[in-house]
Amino acid sequence: MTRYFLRKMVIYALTFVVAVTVDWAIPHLMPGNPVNTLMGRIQIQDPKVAHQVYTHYMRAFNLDLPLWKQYWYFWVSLFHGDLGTSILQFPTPVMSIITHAIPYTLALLIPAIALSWYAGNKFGALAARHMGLDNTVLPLGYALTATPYMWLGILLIWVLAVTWHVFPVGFAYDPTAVRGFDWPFISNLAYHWFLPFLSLFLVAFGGWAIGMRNMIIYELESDYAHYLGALGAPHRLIRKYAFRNAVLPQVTGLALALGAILGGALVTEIVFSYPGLGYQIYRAITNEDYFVIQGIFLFIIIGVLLANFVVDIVYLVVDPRTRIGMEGGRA
Amino acid sequence: MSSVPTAPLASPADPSQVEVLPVAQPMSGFRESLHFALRNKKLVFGLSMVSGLLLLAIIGPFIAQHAPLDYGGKLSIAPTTKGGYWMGTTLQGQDVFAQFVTGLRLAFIVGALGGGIAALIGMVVGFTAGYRAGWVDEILNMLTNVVLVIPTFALLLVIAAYLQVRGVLMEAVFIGITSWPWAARALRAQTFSLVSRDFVDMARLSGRSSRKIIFKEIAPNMSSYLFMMFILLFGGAILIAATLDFIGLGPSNTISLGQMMQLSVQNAALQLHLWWWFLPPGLAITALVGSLYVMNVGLDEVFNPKLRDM
Amino acid sequence: MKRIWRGTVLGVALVAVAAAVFSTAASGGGKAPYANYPRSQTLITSGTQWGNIAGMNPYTGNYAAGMVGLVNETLLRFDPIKGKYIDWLAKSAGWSGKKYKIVVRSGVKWTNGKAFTGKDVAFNINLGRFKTAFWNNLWVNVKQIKVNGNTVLITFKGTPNYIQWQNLMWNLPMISPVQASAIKSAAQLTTYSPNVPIGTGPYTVAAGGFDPTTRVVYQKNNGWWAAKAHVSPSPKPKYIIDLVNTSNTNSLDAVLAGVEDLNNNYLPGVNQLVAQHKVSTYYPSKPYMLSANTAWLEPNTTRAPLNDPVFRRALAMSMNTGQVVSQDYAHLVRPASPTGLLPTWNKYIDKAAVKKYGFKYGPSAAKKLLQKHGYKLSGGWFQTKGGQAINLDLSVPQGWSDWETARNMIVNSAAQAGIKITVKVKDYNTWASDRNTGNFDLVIDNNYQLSDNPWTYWNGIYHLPVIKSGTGQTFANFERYSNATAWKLVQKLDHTAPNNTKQIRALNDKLQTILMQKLPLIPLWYNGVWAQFTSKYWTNWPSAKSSRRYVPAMWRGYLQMTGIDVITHLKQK
Repeated sequence: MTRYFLRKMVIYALTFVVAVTVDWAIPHLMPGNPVNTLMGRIQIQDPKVAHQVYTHYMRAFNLDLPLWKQYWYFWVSLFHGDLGTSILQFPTPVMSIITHAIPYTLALLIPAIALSWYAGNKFGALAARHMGLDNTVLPLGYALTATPYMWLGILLIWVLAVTWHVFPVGFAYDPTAVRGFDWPFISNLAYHWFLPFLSLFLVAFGGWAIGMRNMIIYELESDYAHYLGALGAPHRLIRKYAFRNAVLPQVTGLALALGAILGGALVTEIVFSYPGLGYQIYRAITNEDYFVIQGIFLFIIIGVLLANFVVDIVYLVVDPRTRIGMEGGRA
Repeated sequence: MSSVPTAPLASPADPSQVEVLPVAQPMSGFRESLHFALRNKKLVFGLSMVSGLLLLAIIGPFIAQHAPLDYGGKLSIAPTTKGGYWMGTTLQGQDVFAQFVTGLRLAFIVGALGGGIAALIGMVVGFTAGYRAGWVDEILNMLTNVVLVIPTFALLLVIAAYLQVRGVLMEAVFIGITSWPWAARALRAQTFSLVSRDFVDMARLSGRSSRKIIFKEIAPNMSSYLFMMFILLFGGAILIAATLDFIGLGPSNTISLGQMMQLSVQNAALQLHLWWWFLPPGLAITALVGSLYVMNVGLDEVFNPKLRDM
Repeated sequence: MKRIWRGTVLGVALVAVAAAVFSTAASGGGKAPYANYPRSQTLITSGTQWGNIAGMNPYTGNYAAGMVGLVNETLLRFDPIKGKYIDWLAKSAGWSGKKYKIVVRSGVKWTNGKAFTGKDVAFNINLGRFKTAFWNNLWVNVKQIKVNGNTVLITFKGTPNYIQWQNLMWNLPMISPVQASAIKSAAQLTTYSPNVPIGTGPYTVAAGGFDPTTRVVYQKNNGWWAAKAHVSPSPKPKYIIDLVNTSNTNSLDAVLAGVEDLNNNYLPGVNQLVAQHKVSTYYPSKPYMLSANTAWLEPNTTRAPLNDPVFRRALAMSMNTGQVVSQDYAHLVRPASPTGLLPTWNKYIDKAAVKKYGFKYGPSAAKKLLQKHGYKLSGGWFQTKGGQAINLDLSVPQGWSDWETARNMIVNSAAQAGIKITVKVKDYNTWASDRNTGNFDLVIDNNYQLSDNPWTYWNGIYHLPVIKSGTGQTFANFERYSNATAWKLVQKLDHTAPNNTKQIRALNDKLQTILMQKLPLIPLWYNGVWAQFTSKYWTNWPSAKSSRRYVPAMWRGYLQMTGIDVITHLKQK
């Protein structure tokens, strides 16, 4: 057990180091210099003064240091929880941009992942048992899972928002809403949250449903199922076993799909102008806002690592075989 | 974060999800497979959809009446038989049909290339890790995990920023080198289960090199599995490319389906109800990728006799 | 089995009910049954702020849209349509010889209750001592600021920069010394950002409504001096909410759905919506919008063959601007005069010179011109005089879709004249950085907004020296054009007293002749003051056909033109 966890932790730690390094390297390899953006906004006419101010900012952002030092300082400030200052939104700290965005992203992601996984598995299992349902759900599932996230978003906007005006086109809440922890504001939030959630949910749902349906069919056709059948075990029991076995790969699939759904959330947020991390990083990318890109990527990396870890634990709990297998090295 | 659907989300019989897949039939059963293939509705449907779209992608650009990026048509007209604007024009008067078929062609190119590269890397990493075990496995496994977690989107940004004239090839290569991890994982697991089988032991005893064992003994035993994996990577690559293009990181000097969506949304196509502009590209991607998935399940049923009676 | 069915049915039902509840609760506009900013008393604007709101710093050009104008006011304002200054916080302000005299209005109060005085004016001007202040170059020329009650007299060390100083007077926001005394260094000047700035204007920041990702909320200041003194009507909106701009789709839909009253984005296809009476614009038909700035093709004049005025002229002649105007913009913009001077500067245009030196579209004439001057065609493309292939790169900021379309059209139209141009894709910052450091052949650009004097335009074109290292060019002369004569003329114009109209005329004539002869820049079209508004909640919008000829923009720098008049003249529907 401990050995298994230790190994996992080492892998996660290494992934983290590599990811942080890449995260740091990427903006620094980009051409262009963010301080120039700032200079362009301040509009200093005297070239000598301009040069002084330029040097000042290069120093303030540590951009005048040799690369290895910049890298070192990046780690140092990382452990101080300091992610730097946004250049586009100077002087807003990156941390404050992230803390403003995270709730929105989580509010989309967690329900979308959990509900789509749950409902998808249930529906898939159901479809595997009923020919009629199978013939309708299956094609729909394939269509949904093959739909680009943004296109589904576009369709929903076009039909439900632009044409029928049932839902808003974007934003997290109505511009005239007064914020507060009360039902009116929360319902307003939910109203704006619904379409982006729905488009994320639908695409993911299709994938899980098909996955489950196919998995159950595998199981029902497997030797043990036939054997049980031959022994005269009731169908319900066989199905129960099949479902239980089929869920396991779906849990692994959850870990693998996290990145994909997160990617989907990013695009969905862009389509719906939903002010989560995806939307913020998109803005930062198009404006080459070094520190914001870095900070948000960092949070995403940490989030994905954590989620993977949770899935690992869940898997361990659900499937005792893993424990033995992992402890013994090779299965 | 992979910004985009990397592993087709829990897609049909996603190989990565099947821990111990019944090992595929050796190719000796080719005739038998063909026999079942022709009777498998899913496979026939998927294959004909994909072929139909492929045909359109090949022929379309030749029969289009205008160059995809040319201006000059009447602004935002609905599909018409007049002037060769069969699918209407954009807000700036470009031929939607010409853009659509060009984009479709690009989708196939990106899918084949991106999927191919990913499959190749996945195979090399997966086989090696599964066969060699030990520290080689550890390192490769770590590499797989790292790539799985790293925001692949950032990598593209660097590439995009450096390559100011962006091409489809670069995009495909990028997708290829970032979307292989799940394939590698799945192949590793498969190799594990094969390595302990008798015929591999035999080969090992006869003193053949690891590389030969992998490519002569193990790989052929998984050929159907590999093919299915390639199909999924192919579809995945198309989806990733569409997403990147939609965000504005698509190839310059041409037009892809993702860019059509991006431009239509940017140019108020939704509000002006220019449906002929934003519906076809998404529909084509959905149809293409969906058919690929359906085809994949069909193939699975063909190769896996236990599923045939379904 | 049944359980699953029940579960799913329940789930679907829940979703449906939720959707119904939310949509009735939240889409009912003014009837929403909960506390909100009452829609009928709220003006909602958007189109200025892209990305999160950075805060309330008035100097770094990214303050919350509306802050300067609504909260912090300027001494003067400028009406570009009439070409006149409007006395605002100053009862009068102007030159008396080489001195500048400001008389502050009495009765103006800061929102903290203190009176606005001459001392406050001196305090604000003196913030120019910090090097990061945009008027630092003017401040260093100030000899003395004498304050006597409400009168401020400024003397200068040498000849005053008449034009720049006058421009400063309607662009320098008056911020409260109580808060701004916290500024103690050049760096602090750029980070200073009070949560609720103390101002003199018609609105104050409602801090509770502020959300950097979404909006800034302003609340009416009932004690506004201008309404009390009957200098301006009292604005009707109790609240003004400026929304962060997210995407064209969002903006356009927000306008159509009545979520926004005024939008200052470029919205493609807006001409169709005007025709369908869904939105209104300043002009009821083409060109729809007032002109805000000149979009031009900026050649890097230090690179061959773009260093040759003849080549630049041929390039200019190959530009099919008509196509850009009609197809890319559907006549939402106007083609530029060869001088590039905005329509509001029409009186400065030397018509005879335009006739003589102006360029006209003609690809075959462009070809002939090049051939006449020794450029040779090879395989349909021109070569340099040295016989090398010409292939110019052209870039616009990525994602600026109208410019991307224009760029493609330019590539095509230059090809008609045998000039090969290749597109390079750069995101905004790379594009700007490359432009500043001279790492480009051609860019489409627009740098200088509508202002009180064409001097800002000339300064932008001819400013010297060209900085070759470090920052590169940060605010002017991105084409890196070295013309000492022209630069001297620009400086002379700045140093010409406003009453010397003859010299002003002569200098402007010379400057535009140089532009048309040498074409350091190729003027293409005039970008509009993008503004579309709806009358669902507010009426009496400005229009060319009414007496309300105001510039309908919340853009930074535009409220103190006549943007504020747009707001004060609105009527509740």
